[in-house]
Amino acid sequence: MIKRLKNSSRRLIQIFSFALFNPYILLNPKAGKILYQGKMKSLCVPILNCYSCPLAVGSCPIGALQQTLKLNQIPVLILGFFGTIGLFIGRYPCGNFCPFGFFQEILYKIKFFKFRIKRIFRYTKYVILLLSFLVPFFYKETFFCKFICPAGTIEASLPQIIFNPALLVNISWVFYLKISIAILFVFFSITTKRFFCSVLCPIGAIYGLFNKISLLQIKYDPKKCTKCGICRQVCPMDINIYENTTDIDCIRCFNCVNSCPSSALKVSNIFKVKKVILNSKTITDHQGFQR
Amino acid sequence: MKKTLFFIFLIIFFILLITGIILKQYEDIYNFGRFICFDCIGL
Repeated sequence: MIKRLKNSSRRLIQIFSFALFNPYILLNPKAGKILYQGKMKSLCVPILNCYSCPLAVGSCPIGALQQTLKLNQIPVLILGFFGTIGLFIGRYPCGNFCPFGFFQEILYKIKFFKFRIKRIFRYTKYVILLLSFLVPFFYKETFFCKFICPAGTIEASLPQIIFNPALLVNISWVFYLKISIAILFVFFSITTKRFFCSVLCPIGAIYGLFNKISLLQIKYDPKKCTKCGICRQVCPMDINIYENTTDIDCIRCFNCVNSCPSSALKVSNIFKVKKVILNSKTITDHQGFQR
Repeated sequence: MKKTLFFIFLIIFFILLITGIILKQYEDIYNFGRFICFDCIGL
């Protein structure tokens, strides 16, 4: 019962954060503007949320990063922002705050043909991350926003065109490319667990790098683990958490922790995890000495 | 080791954050965000 409550509390957090980062038209229907232009846009949200979305009140960090690079500036503010969040909570924002991740989890619930993606493809997001730094700096194009981001297409492009059909005059091949990617994104989200987060998301790629040293950790007790595989079944990223609790793809949703029948997994922090390792070493040494 | 790395990176990113605030990069972010991004919407 408590485990079910914990799982549903993540859903509530996801809904709450969607409302928190996207309240503009919902709260202000008579504003008459199809884009929020207030001072809140100076702040980045910690997740992928297109700032051209009619609902958004914050800026997208990866969009802002690329735009800053386009101006030949080093995006120190955004790098510091990503780093600080990553250091404290790793990929926790992906699992709990990101509306786009939430959208993918809902799509995956559709009953259709399902398959797993190979581990090697999960590193594609680092290629995209690298290009998101290099292309804006050297070629003055926002590579990820312009050519890939399906969040921009779904959250911004389609609503903006519906609100303002005059925009269709400027339509180009890039629009058709983005629509095609968005359609593929929907297909893969139905068939694969969090496809975009695993394979394409540059924000998840940055946060994932911090999973090893972030304050927030998952503690694994191999003595209690029966390798029943329930953790992988409930994992929205389809990873085996008991193989590596600091996996770059672990989004710290804690579904595994809440579902583990033998309580082999626990929420912990980096200081506690170290203590456990030291204790287990001490026990082993002590046993060896007795023998 | 992880604990040390955590504190080293914490200081580095904190310095980056402060530098960004001093350079007023949030004003640039505001200027990007307050207009429709035609790159994002593919037009």
